Amino acid sequence: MNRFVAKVLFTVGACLASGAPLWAQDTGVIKGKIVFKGDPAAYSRVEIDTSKDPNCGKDGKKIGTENVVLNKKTTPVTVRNVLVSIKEGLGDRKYTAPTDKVVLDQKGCHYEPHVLALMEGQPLTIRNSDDTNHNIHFLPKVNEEVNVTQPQKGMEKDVKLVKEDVFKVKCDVHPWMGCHIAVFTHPFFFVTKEEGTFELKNVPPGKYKVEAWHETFGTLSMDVEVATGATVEKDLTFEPK
Amino acid sequence: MKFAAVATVVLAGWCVWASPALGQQADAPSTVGVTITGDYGYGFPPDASEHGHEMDRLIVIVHWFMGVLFVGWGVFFAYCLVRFRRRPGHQAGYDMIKAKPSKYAELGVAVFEGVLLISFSMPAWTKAKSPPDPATAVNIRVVAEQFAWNFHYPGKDGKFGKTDPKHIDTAINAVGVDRSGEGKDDVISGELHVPVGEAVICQISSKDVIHSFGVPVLRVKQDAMPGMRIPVWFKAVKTGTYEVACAQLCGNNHYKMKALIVIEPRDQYDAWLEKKGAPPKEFEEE
Repeated sequence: MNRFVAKVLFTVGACLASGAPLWAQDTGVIKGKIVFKGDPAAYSRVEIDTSKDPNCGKDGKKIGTENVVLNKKTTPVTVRNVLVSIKEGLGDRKYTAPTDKVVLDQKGCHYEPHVLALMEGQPLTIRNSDDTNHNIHFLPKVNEEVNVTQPQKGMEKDVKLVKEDVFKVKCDVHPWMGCHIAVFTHPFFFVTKEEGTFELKNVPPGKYKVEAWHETFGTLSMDVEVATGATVEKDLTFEPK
Repeated sequence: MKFAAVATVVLAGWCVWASPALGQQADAPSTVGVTITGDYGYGFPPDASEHGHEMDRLIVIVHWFMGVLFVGWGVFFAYCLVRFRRRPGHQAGYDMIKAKPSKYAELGVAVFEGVLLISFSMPAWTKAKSPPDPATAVNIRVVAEQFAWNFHYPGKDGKFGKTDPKHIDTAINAVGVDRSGEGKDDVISGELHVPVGEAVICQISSKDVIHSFGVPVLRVKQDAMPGMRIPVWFKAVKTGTYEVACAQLCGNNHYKMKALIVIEPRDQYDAWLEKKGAPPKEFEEE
């Protein structure tokens, strides 16, 4: 009996420590690709002129536009930096924000990552890894504005975003620098990377509306039904006119 | 009176003693890792424009004049404090002074100011406010924004394309040029390049708040007003790399609102314009 109680406590403790919900075994997965249909050449990335600040790019590294980043090596062509999340269907479920720190880095005079997603109240650190002055400026719709100068390399600033929001971030010193931050009330979100794929794990069984948002192409949505232990695979396609 | 005389002698002595130090040349400043041409000390920055010496002469004359007035009035003030101090048996009088020297002094100041205005300021400003024919000059639009300078060149066709905020892309089209028409060959740069020895007309404007286009080495300063396009012109006579600065407090990063101005021979300027006018290179991730 004592051994059983110990096992239960260990499982609960392990789940809490890892951030995984207790019902993880009774959940499903939503995965897929964000596909681009059209002429990829029309959305080629170009080099950004950083001559406004000779400290940018002095190591010889170039930066490119990030408003559309296509993965042309994959077939079909997929899209990077798409924010995929559950929009509807979670009901009144409440989720606790993980304590893992998320970092928004100013590196090579651009932001890493270009689209950053986190949960309400999750710790966020803004870092300046460049040997130049940056002024990070959040332009939130509902959260508090952040407008901070970081003149020296290595400077960090901790902020907390406590309300659901999707907004733009800019640098007031380097006009080409921009990124987006999304704040969620739940942990079911994903930002597509090089492969253009997404995966929402530990989704409780139910019917959901899943949304894909891209800063240039806009939003797409799809209805998904998740069953216990099942993986639903569905792609979304951006077809810009 | 003795006190005033002593104070004047001490002040004059300090000026003579300190003058070599005041004239010392400091190291040329470097901005954002780029060495700026010329010697910078406590006096004027280098003069790289055709009209700069006129401005400098005016500033020097005005400062000497102010110095004379300052010392003169200071001495007179000190004299009055001592000469008309409170003493038993003396009472203040409230009648206007009728002495002639003060009238002559006031008349002298007025005449000097008149000479200053008519002989120095007006010729200099008439020249500054009479831009050359835009058809023969180099035309550049200078667009300020918090906290950067954008320089817009008309390209090979010599015509500026239409601009519209809807075309603004902060990464590659900071001034919102419509690339479909005459703007297809327009050049947008973060550095200001101008050919040496040629008249340049800059049309100054702002995308947001009031800024000021200040180029110390050219003795040029003009406010950038949102909603207005204000011309300012100059002829650079010395090649080199210098600084453009914002001369109007415009926000928390005002101090970083700088750009480089490169004054270069015509062939180098043409080569730069040709290079900048080329379509942007496709970016390939490493």
